[in-house]
Amino acid sequence: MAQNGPLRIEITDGVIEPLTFAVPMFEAENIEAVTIATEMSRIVATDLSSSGLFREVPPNRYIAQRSRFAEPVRYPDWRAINTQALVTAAVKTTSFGRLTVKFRIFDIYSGVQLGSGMQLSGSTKAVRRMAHKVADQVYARITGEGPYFDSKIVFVSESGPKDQRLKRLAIMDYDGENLQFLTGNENTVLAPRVSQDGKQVLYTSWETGFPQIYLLSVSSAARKRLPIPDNGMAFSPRFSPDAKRVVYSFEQGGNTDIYLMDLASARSARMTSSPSIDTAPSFSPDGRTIVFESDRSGTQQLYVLPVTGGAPKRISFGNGRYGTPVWSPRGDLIAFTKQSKGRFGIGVMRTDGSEERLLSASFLDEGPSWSPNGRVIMFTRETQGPKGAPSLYSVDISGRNLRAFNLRSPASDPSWGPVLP
Amino acid sequence: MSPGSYISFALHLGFVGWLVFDGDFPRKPSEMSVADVSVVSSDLFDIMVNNSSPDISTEIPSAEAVSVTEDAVGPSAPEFDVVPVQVVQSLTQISSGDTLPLRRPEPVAPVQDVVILPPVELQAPMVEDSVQTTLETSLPPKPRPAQRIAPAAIDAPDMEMDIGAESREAAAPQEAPVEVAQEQEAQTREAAAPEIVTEAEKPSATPVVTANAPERSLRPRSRPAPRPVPASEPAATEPEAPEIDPVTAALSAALMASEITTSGAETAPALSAPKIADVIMSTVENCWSIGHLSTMALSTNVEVEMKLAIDRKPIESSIRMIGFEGGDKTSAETVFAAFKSGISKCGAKGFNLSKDDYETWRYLSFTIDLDKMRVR
Repeated sequence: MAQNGPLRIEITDGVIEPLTFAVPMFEAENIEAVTIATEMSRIVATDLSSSGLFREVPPNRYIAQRSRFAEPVRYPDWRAINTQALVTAAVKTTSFGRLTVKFRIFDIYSGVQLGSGMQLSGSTKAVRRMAHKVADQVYARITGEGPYFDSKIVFVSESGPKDQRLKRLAIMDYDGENLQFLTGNENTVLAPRVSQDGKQVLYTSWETGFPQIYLLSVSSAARKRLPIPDNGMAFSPRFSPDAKRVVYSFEQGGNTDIYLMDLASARSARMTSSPSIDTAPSFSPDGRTIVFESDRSGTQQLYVLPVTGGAPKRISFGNGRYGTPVWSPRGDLIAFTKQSKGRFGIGVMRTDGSEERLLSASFLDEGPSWSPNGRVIMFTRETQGPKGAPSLYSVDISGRNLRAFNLRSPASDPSWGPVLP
Repeated sequence: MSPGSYISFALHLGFVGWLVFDGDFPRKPSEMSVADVSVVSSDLFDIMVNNSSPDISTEIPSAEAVSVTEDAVGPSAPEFDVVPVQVVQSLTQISSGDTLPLRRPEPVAPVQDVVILPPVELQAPMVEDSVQTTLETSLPPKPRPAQRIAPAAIDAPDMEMDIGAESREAAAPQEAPVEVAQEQEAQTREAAAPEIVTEAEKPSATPVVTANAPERSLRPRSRPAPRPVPASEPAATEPEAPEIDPVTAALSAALMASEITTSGAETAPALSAPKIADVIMSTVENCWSIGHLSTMALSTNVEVEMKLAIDRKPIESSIRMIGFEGGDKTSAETVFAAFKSGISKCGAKGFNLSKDDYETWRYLSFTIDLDKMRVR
């Protein structure tokens, strides 16, 4: 019997597995670009694979080892090795130290090109950045997420024995390359926080003998102490989304409250006045609300509070202690550290406290920081024992793709900056 | 003495006298300008340079004034005295026994500019037919499934024409495995026989279909679930049973078994519309990859329509998004692109459907709702 109208089918599930892709070596349009083409194609493939959302088809399985940028794509060849997405590109250098890369993305099973091709131009010294940009475009077009490969991370680089650890601020590319130091290691520093434009960093330093907050320019490494009185400890700062205000904790007489400073006028205003420890504030992306941790209920929990004032509202109610909340740049989730049954983990919850999920757990996981697209969380994981040391990890918000950063020295307190312009 | 000697003596005497009483020689030696020199380490030197350098700024980058509503945070909110604090790091502080290695911050290399050029038309080069059909690969020759890469392209069926009759003819090659026929026969006979058929009532080897023989079996295609029958209903259903002659029923059963043997060889057994939907849904859900989709895309519901060809494969040109809700256009297009690619992959070998039901599954309408899965 013929169906009256189309047969209706509801699809509510699918296979959770990375999308397979291939990045044949970029075509070098002149001899000077051969090395660059090889390097760029490997960076693009590494970026995509590191996201956990893509899985590279090993190049040794390619039927055609090389493909020219102008040649038609042989879809059957790529289907035969189960490639779902293909990235082809060509690189050319000019005599003025400039580099141009053009690339295309193909959906192999649909047999179509995804969007138009694109071109990037930059200095030959910016090979890595340009490769990250290409990977960002591929990632964004296929997943629908915002990009994050072309970004930087500020963190605390540590050295020396565990009981005499030297800590200084460092900055690196998202993948751990191009590491540079922003401060000396003569004073202990903690908790760097990058502004949303990536140009400034707030951090806590023991330079005066007790914790105070400093503002540092990334480009010049010039720094300044925020005008906060010496009769208390100031710590845990964080920028507002427009980088015009700073929210921080100030301890005085055993009571810690949250304050808001206007950087232009250097005036601070008190936001909480509870006889408890209120700390770790973080702005929502619209700048209207902060989330912070407080033990006012007797145990450490998360609260949200309008910047304009009002009563804090508790949002965490699970077993255990919640701390270091950070609002997602997309505004949909809050990441936090949870301590329960002697273990620490990184979790996320909706901004009203619902749908709590733990993404990691270990001896000590703490200090989450969001990627600029709100898809990945970086945090500090410290190993147990006398030789235990902190290192940086990242995890997808689905809880998959837990990855460690292979830095040469211990590292902690990551703060993920924005995607570079 | 000659006059020249007197003159020479007088000149020398005058010169010596000038030197002694008002000459270039200083009356006492001047103080030598020397600096106190001590040995300092390179690290200490770095710190000294650091202290004298003006890179420790006290200026906060200018920012527009933002009014902070102090009333909103309560009358007890104290206002701090604005005392700009000069960050000073004295040499004595540094040299007071801090033996740890001291390091200056390294100059931060400026970020290299990368310019995204205006989009240019980098359209994919046209794929010629010869490229599609003639594959030159570097792999050692391997037998490949004929359905994947045929030596010559197979003409796609014209989807607009009515092919109800043609489709049955096209299924003429009957290569039904004997096993399938036996299995179907055993099941259908036992399950469907309305009554016990004795040996004497069995049909002959060459059954003759009488004029009264029904064209189709009256048996249900699947075993109906037992249902409670109200006492008044049997009267309504019973009259139909006596019309079936036992011999005719047996013949019909045999004929149907034969029919299943022929048509089921090439395609799956005929199914009801819900069953067909289940087959397609199950095939797609166990095949298409959604692990790479954004969280926004996963929360976007998308409506897709498409057609299947008589070979049970998707017609890619017919796949189109007809609507979405719960997300933006970008996320909807992301889901659609993933679905289109996925169903092309999942249906590349054709869905396991009966061609007899072609009119049922020819036109498909998908509602993609991954939100429940995302929450899970």
